[in-house]
Order: sequence, then structure tokens, then C-alpha cells
Amino acid sequence: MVICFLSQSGVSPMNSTMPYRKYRKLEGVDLFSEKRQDESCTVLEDLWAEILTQDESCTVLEDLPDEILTQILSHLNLKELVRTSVVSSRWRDLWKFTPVVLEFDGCYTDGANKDRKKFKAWVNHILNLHQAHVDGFIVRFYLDWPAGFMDKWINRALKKEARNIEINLLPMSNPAHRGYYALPSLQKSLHSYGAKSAFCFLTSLKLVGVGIHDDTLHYFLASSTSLECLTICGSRFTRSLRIVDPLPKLKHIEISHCNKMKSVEILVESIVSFTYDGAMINLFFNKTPKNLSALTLAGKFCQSFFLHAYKHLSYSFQLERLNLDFPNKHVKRPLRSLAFYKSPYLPQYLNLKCMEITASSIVGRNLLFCTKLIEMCPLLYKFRIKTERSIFIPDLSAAEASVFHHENLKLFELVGYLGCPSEEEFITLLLKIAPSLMTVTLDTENDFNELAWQCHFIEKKFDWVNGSKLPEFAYAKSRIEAKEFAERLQSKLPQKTQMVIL
Amino acid sequence: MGKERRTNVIPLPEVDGVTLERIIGFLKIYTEESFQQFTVQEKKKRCDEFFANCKFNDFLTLASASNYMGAQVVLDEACQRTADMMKNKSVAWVRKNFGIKNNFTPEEEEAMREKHEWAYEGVDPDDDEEDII
Repeated sequence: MVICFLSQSGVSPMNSTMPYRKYRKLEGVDLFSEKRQDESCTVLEDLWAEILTQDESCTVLEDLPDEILTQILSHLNLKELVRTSVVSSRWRDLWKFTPVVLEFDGCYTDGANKDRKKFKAWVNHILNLHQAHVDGFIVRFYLDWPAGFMDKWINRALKKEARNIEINLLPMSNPAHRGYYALPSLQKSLHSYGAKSAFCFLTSLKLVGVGIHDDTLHYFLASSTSLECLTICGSRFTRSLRIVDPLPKLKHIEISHCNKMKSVEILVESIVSFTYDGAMINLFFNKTPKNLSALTLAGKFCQSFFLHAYKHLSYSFQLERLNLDFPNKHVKRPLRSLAFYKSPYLPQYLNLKCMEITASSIVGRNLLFCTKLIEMCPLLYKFRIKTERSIFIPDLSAAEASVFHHENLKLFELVGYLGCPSEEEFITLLLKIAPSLMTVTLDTENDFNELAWQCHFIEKKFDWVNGSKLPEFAYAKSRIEAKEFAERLQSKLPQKTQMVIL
Repeated sequence: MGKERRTNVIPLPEVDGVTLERIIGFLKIYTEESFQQFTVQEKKKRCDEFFANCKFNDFLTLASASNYMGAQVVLDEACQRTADMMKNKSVAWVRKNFGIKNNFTPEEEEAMREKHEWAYEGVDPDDDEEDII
């Protein structure tokens, strides 16, 4: 058959400038040789092209060896992959040898948990059938008892050389909630894992709600020489963490909600970003953590970083990105802490390019304090404030703002814009301080229902206490209103400053 | 890579001219300093531009050729894009568009489907959102 001949014919020479398909078509079919130069196709030619394309695609896909086919399939998710088993007999077992990411999500998007027995059976079923290595093993499932099957799953994942392991046992809950599962001590099964770099395939480890003892964690780290990301969240056993070389690729470390944590020592050179959420601990870095450029802090530690900045200078001076999430408890004072003003020492972050602050605040309170933060960072390029507002009796203290000149600030973002006069005041001041400001982004996302309820409550209380009506809170009551306020503000901005309203 | 010079007679029976051009072109982009500085989205955009006029067959040929030549990044890209085309499509769609013959008997097929019932939920050729069971 002509078509078969075409498919198996030799390929076009390397110097060919003609489109591949056309060349193959012309090789065996003389009819169209005169039309070779012609750009336009006849109807017949079209038909030929269609038939030939179909046959070509049939042979080309089926021509591919199994290794390439499994490589293609490895980019699918688990569901899509298993579906391919029914496509044809050749594909029946392909999925079992595909290095896919085994992702098992035990929660629905609305937070409800899937049936526990079914979930367990499903994971076991897949783990038993799949035979080759996997690219990743991810389990998100609410587990609050010491379950033996979890040990088995983790062991299987390690045997299958999963490069990315994520065990999230508190998927929808607050990670501060105590998880009950504890990672088994790997000392016992040491012999089955063999040599020192037993886990040299592991590049990312994320444990949420999994209790891990110090020695187990250190063993893991010592054996995972290719580790790039480490996340330990909600581990109630970890007391002290010491991360030493050789971990040449470790770039990102995140530790949060480990209530017993007392000290963290990071003595690897390669660390680029560090995230910590929790109480005050002793934090040591390598003498000069020269690659550390991003720091994200939350919880009480964040407060300490802010109020006692001199204690943290050893690793904060070279930061390029700083993200501070202030704890919610101290609603009344986070954006204006007297201690900060009175503190004689305000560090200069000479390398900081991007700063993001998340804090609670009161509707109507001025943001002028933030100018102090900008003053601290002469190279600042982007400044972002995310506020969660509540309604209290507004304070009427005088505005405190420093007046200085900033040359580099280009992007300012405010999340939780409510159209208060204090916000406008801040933006106007910002434009004076930083004429380089190019874009102002106002995100109007807020919990308007909560604010309305609080306002109602305060009004009633004020009325009851003082017998008079509370002065009006000037703020937007809905997202649309907030956007309108923003548009009005936009018209007051100079031409060259662009505003983005979300 | 001596294969870059077209006048050099190194036979590459598995690779044709157009595919080779593409592989070289992509590798050129990939090794550019500016490319390495891009964010993930920018990289994707640049690759999308490069592969804009490639059809499905082209990716398969590309995969085969780059596997033969050992160009891992091109292989990864080609595999990723082929997989993207398959994402969340029904089995019948895959068979039809990729020209694969179904050589299961209806009973066999039914048995296979029942084995992994959970995998067949939430598939819709027009809908890209997957339903979680």
C-alpha cells in the first residue's frame, strides 16, 4: 500500500527546507509533483493531506518507545493517568511504570473529609499496583490518631524514591491544632535503607501535622543530600533543629507552629529563604549567610524582629525580601508601637527591595507610621501592606510621620483598602516622599459583613454608654463602594502614577 | 555539538531537518542568559511563542528526536505539551485524536473501567475543571 510505504520511507535530508509532511507526501505520489511549488492546495490535495496526517499520527504515536510514552504520561495527574489504561492493550500497564506524582487528596474543596475507609483503600490499591519509581508522593488527609498505615505509606514512598514528599495531616485546620500522628523512628529500619545517602533522590519534604523527633529529622537530613526544600509545620516533638552540611542544594526552609521548638541552627551556605511562624527561639545562621535573601516571619518571633531589631541583625542586614505577619492578638498596637518610636536604634536594611506587612488595624487609624519602615530601606522597590480591619473607637492622636526623600520606591500595594481618609492621606504623603512611585495597587478585599456587624455593635454600645450617637465612620461598606472611592482617589493622582484597582 | 553545522555529514537517521532546526532553536533560547533570569511565567510564555506553530505530530517527532539526541530540556518540553493536550479528555477523545486503535473487547474494556471507577468521574471534553470524587 502506498501509504504504508510512505510512512516507512526514509526521512528528508537534513538540508531540506520543505515542510516535513509535504515532502513525505510527495515522495511516493507523483500526481502532485507539479503542484510542489504552488502554495494553494486543490481539494484533492487537501483530502490526501488529511488522510496522510491521520495515518502519520497513528504511526508516530504508536511508534514511540515505552520510555518516551511514560515520560509524556508522567505529566498527567493520577486520575488522567489511570484512565489511559483502557485506551488500548499496549497502554493497559503503561501507567504502572510511569514516574508520576502520586497525589492523594483526602478532602473535598469545601473542607469536608472523604470517607476514611475508602480513601485508605484507594491509596493502598494504587500503591500496590504501581510498580516503578514515582516522581512525588502527596497525601492530604485529616489524621488525628497514630495510624500504622501511615508508616507503611511513608515507607513505600521512600522505597519508590519519590522526589517530592508531602504529608499534610491537617489540611483544612489551623496548623496550631495538635496533630497526633508521629513519624516512626527510622533508626529501627536503618538496615533496610542502607548507606548514608539513602534518600539522595529526595528534593522536597513537607510535613504538616506530623510529629517528628529531633533524631529522626536529623537522620533524614543527613541522608538527603539533594534536598532543596524543607517544611516542618505543626510538629509537637521538635525541640531543636540543627541543619548542617552537606546539604548543598537546600534553599528553602519553613518552620511553623512547632510549640516545643527552642532553637534553630542553620549552618548551610546555600539557604536562600527562611520562613518561621512561632514563638521566640534562638535562631542562628552561618557566620555569613550570604545567600539568605528572603525572610518571612509570623507570630511572636515576628514581633521580636520588629521591636528588637538589633537582636536579629546578624542575618537581616543582607535581606532582599522581607515579609512580616504580625500576630492578631495585638490589634490595638501593631502598626504603631510606641516602643518602636522610642527605640533609639532603627536598623537600615540596605539591601531590602521588597517588603510586605500583614497586620491588623483599626478602621480610620492612620498609616503614617509605615513611612518609618520605608525610611529604613533606601533601596526599597515594592512595599505591600495587607490589613485586616476591625472597628473600635477611633483614636485621635496626632499623625507622626517622618519627612524624607526616597529614590527607589516604585510599587505600592494596599490590600484591604476601605476608602478611609487616612489611607488617602498616606498615599498623598507617599507620593511626596517617593516621586519615583509608578504604580499604586488598591485591593478592596475585606470582610464587609464582619465590619458591618462590628460597627453596629459599637454604635449600640456607644449609645448605651454615652447616650449619643457615634460619629460616622468614613469607610466603604461594600466592595463596589470601595472601588468607587479608589477611582475618585485615582483622579487626584499625578499623571505618571498608574493605579490598579482590584 | 558538531551536529549544528549542516554541511557536516553526521548521519542522523532518526532526525529530520525541520525537527533538528527546532531542537537547535530551542536550545539556543534555553541557554541564553536572559532566559535563565525569567520568572516561571515568562519562561512559559517564551516557550509558547516558540512552539506556537507546532502541531501534535511535531511534538511527538520532537520527543523522539530529542530522546535520540539526548537533549533533555527539549524532551521535557515536548512531553509536557503532549500531555497538556491529553489533559482531562475522555478515553474516546484520546483514541480518536491520537489515532489509537482500541483492541479490547467490550467485556475487557468494561472490566478495566470497573477496576478504576473513580478515575472516570468528572471528565468532559469542554470542561477543564476536574471534579474531586
